[in-house]
Amino acid sequence: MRTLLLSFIFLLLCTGVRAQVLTVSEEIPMRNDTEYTLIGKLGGQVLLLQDRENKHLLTAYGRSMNQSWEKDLELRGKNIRVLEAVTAQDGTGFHLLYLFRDKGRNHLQLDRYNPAGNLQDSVTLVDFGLFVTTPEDDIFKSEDESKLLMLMVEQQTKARYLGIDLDSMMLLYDQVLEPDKFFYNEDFLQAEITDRGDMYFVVERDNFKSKRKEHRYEVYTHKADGAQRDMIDVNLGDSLTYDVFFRYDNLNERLAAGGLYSTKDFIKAEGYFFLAIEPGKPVGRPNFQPFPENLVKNVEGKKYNKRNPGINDLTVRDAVLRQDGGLVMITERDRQLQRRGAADQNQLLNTYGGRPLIDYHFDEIVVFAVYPDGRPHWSNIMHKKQYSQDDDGAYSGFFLMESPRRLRFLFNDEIRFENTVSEYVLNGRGEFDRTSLFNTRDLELRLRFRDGVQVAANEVVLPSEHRNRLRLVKMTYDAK
Amino acid sequence: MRVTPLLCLLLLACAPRLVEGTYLIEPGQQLLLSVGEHLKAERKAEDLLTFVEVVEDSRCPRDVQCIQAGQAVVRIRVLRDGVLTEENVIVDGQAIATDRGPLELSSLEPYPDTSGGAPEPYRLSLRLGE
Repeated sequence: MRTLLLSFIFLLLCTGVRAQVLTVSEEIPMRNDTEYTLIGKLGGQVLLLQDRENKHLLTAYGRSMNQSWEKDLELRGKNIRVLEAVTAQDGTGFHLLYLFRDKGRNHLQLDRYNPAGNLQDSVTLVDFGLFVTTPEDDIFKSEDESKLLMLMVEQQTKARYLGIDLDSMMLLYDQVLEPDKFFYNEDFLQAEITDRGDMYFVVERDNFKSKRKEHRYEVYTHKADGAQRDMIDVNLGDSLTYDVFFRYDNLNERLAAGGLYSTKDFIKAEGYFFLAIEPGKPVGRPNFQPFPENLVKNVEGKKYNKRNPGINDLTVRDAVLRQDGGLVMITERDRQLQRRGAADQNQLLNTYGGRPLIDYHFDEIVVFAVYPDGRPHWSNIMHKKQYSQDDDGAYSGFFLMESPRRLRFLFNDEIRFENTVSEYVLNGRGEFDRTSLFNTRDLELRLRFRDGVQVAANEVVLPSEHRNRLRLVKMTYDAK
Repeated sequence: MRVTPLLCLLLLACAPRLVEGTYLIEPGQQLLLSVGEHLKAERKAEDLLTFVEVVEDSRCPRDVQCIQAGQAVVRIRVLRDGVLTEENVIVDGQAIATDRGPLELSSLEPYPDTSGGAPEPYRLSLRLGE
């Protein structure tokens, strides 16, 4: 058996100055029920956790992505479900947060491992008892990844929230939030946890055309020290929220949001807005900014409507906080179209059993930068066109690689085996370059960019799934 | 005139060197350590700190309009509770706990720039609490 790893090193001179080194691991056979989590990089090794038939295999990959070792982690109890794996920023190890069942009761467990995969500490944080229904859960990480916020929703009218301090391996709080007339799946927007452990829970109210003037956010807060709870009311004027993304700014100690608005309906967004919420201070009206006309024309092309300008199918993907307190809002056009297969239309038997096919389109990336007070700084469009069918768009979208000087958007040009991987490199002034990086057919890769992990300012690890075989791809940029 | 190398020489001149690459630090004293060098609080004691490597230097160069400020992260081996622990630390002027009290990691020199000259070797500026 071949023991040497497939290790490809490509020095692709993009501009004659910058280069990337691509290192690819050996193939790992996957079953349909195999789940994996890319933990990150510790002690110079990339760690991968696989959940295979209730076994939890931790695999380490060395500098050349060769498999260094593999361990079967002995997690507690039965019916284990790993919720989150977080590497410690000081490089001393990683934490695993998971649910397990013991004697019919459900527990929340936090384990700490060193980079060699040895258990260092273990604590059962909560005994949830019996679950009457399977609860929905969601996890949010603080910016420095030292705190976790877990939401558990058994009944739609209330949310249980738990703050977890990973360093001390202790619960900061375990409370229930029950706003008036609240329905989790409809009203909950997003939650955030700060580096200090404070919780923010955002509820959307009256985001309907008929109640446009009453549209607002209710921001529920919980302080980690002193357990003080509060609610901040944010009035959205007479605009509707088309989409929004919140991010806590630990430097300026405020909750920032970048969003898209509409004043008519939810068919198109008409512009973008910036919002900053500082506890204890009055919240001003968000700074609403119509899209620049040229930008709308560029995105919409022939569909540009002069009377009713706007962009449809735009989703806020991320918000990058700027060092000056401003924000870079990253949006992407995406739409799903459901259709019947041709065979089905012809009333012939088909292998889909009448199940509709879903087309996934992931197109332009549109970026808006704003100053700390919400005034527009710059905006730009990065064109791409990705189309796939019935794959959940797993290979579409992009990976955002953040570094202080630039943002890199890595993506597949086309969602097929014979494909080119490209990148847009965007600087702090809003200028960008597009570069073709490599061809995936030569390397037999199908990269899932949205599941990638940035392990250093200049390094990213991406999973590649092709014919039920997983490979990890490490992409290292010149540090300059 | 380059101020940083001069400052470096001055600081190193003040810090007694025990053997090649090992320096003695006293409370209140500040000195610069290169990669691979060690620090002791007493002549015959165990190393208080070893500067292992620079893990990350994404600090925004002075003449560039950056999106984020970036950070310098170093890997050190530090004596804490009688045990040598290796860890990554962000160099931001904060002090770390050691067996000899707080040790401030003041800065990492040189600060990045885009002048394109040959890069100087990294030096970590440290100050032991009084």
